[in-house]
Amino acid sequence: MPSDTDTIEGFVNPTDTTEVFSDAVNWSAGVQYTVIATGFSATGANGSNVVLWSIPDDNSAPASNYVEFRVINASPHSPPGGVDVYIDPIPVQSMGNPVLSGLAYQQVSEYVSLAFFPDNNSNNINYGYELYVTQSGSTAPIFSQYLDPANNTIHTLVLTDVQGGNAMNPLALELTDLD
Amino acid sequence: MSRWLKALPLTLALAALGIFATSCGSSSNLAQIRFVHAIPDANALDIAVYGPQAVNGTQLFST
Repeated sequence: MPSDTDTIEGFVNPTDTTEVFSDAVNWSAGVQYTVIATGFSATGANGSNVVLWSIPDDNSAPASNYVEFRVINASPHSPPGGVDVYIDPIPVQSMGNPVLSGLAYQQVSEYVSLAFFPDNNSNNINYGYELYVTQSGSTAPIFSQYLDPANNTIHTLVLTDVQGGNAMNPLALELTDLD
Repeated sequence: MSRWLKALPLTLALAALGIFATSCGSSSNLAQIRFVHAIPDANALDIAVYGPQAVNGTQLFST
């Protein structure tokens, strides 16, 4: 996409006759964006309850032997006070402290840099990380998820709602930004 | 470029696809976008971008 301000529109597939949303989005040259549509389409006039979100990505390579994660809360039914996010190396001894606290709907975290775990414990065959998402201030997971990034990669985790439902999706959408 | 394609098998209501305008010159002059459909009460969408220099009216994503 050339650098400018464009209008991005969503239509019901496959007829392309019913507009779900329409909004202006700015692009800058040389920048990569994650564009997310969330919110609700069944309520509100002309997609007024749809949230279209253009988030610039920073795909600068992580430090050697580190991986980076960013979390986007695109879940309208996430807890009102936001969520805490834990990313713990496996085997998890304890959940420890969250890497992100109080991440509310429509918020994007900073990039969290973590040591690439297999280098810390080369004898551990169950390497990787466990993601825990909790209501902010609670240690009871809403869900957990295994993450197995390669060294020096960047990942965006998108929290969403279940399709057609009214609850948070118990699985984050994992996007590999840099591999 | 695989960063976009890796989103494809991921599930749930959501789809992510990407587009690259590599035929229009240096990528440093271009913005690159990937689109995530996370509207829980919407079915599959087609996405189009309109603008002064965009590929007007072209369906960029089909989710």
